[in-house]
Amino acid sequence: MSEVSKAYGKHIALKDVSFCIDEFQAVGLLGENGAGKTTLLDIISGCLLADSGSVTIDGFDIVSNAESAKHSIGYLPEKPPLYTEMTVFEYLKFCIELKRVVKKDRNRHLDDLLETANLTQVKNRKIANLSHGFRQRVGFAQALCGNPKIILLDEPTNGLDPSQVIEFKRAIKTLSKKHILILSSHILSLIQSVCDRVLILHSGVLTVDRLIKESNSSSFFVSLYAPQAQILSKIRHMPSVKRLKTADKGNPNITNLIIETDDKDSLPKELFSFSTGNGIAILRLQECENTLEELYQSSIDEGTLS
Amino acid sequence: MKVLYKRELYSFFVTGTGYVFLFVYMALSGIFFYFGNILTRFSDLSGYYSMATYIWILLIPILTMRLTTEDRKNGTYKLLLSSAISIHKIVLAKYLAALSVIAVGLLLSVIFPIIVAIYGALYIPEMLLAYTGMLLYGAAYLAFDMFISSFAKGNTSAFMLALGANLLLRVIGLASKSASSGFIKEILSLLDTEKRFTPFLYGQLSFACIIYFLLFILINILLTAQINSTDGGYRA
Repeated sequence: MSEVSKAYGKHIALKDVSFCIDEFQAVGLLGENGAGKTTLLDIISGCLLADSGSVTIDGFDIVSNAESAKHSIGYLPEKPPLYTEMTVFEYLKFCIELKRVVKKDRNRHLDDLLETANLTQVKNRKIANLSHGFRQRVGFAQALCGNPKIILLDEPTNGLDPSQVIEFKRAIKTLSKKHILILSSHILSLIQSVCDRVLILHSGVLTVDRLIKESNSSSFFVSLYAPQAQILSKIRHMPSVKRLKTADKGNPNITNLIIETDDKDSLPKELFSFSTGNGIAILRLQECENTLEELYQSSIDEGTLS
Repeated sequence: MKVLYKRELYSFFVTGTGYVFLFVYMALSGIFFYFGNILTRFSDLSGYYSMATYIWILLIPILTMRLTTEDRKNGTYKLLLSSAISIHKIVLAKYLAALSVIAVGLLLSVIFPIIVAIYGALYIPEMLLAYTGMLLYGAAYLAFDMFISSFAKGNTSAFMLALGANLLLRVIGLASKSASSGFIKEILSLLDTEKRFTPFLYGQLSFACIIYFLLFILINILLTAQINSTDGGYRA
């Protein structure tokens, strides 16, 4: 997705949103109500046109090559798109045909979907007569029709009871090994527990795009009295540095960095030996308390202030 | 597209809309036939054929009221738009499903000419032309009503909007006949569907009228696709 913007009249829903997902992973999409999460998913799925920018799915542009791009997409919107007069079996059969699954594979695929979403016992019941939880499962099974590479889920746990949420989390974890999942939710703990990466939207602007901290991974904020160009490549090549990001460019003589590491004991030592060896003062070194909740809150605060 | 056509057709009958349409159509046609032909022992069916146009105006909004608004209400438009089917094919599948219901109604109503044929004289080519005209007229109003219904948010408002638009189109047709100025008359005449239906009633095969109806249908289908496209009326 590259520099995608969308406005409804004077209201800006998305502004220059860019990101790329190039491996199987579960990506959490966070943001306040009205931040642009649903608009973003609608644009990726081809349900809505962006005002500017482009979306490329598996090498195909969602506008100019819509049919090819949409073959790789499964979408569960916030309100599951169900034809309630149909039975679960009829509905999923329709969705499979809509996704143009090869005729000889349809029955097997249908059985797989019923099993994955735990719907076998209700397959002959009309959707209108199902509980909310089961309807959500039918919607979820619909998103898996045609085995798409990218699965978009908008608030998928809305209205589910705790046991259904646990079941759903398990399904997400399994799916994220073979699919790209983009999961929009208000529930931080859900994103934290099932996603590998998080995108945070604030008033249509993508404020955070980062991997969710692995259990042995830590982040440090470090401020050094030296120009960026002089030190950046040296720090990047330190053994304990996994990833680094420049924090801001206020003073050209001060470099602020956020460094991710898997070895939180060695990184400060390496930084101190680097600073003494090169005569560079460390102005600040602090381990970031980067739980998703704090990350989310700070992104919202920064967004509100700006 | 075939799968969507089948689903839409299934939906017409499983929700009862198709049955309501066919029942009311047959009941009204039966009443016109009874008073126009049975009671008067009159074998000329042209009066019955021409009344069918009024029936279409009243009944076609029943078919179109749910074609797009239902998808918006249920959120199923997102299922359709995120699938690998173009908006034109989606609109065409829905249109053809509704047209099939109209065709079923016309087939059922063949019972009235058959009754005439049993008890009197029926000129079959004339009947076939009249039925061709009725189908084209119905198909044209179906496309028009589908376009108009796309502006509505609910089923009731879609029905009222389409019914109002049909009556307005009819009034425009009447106004075109009484307009004196050449230019205004020409403009109004472009929307006079009645004028293009009349030759079929008199047993004339008018290719100009067939082309008019086909263009009328095409334009309305394209407009419906545009209004329901990803950045049009289907927007949440």
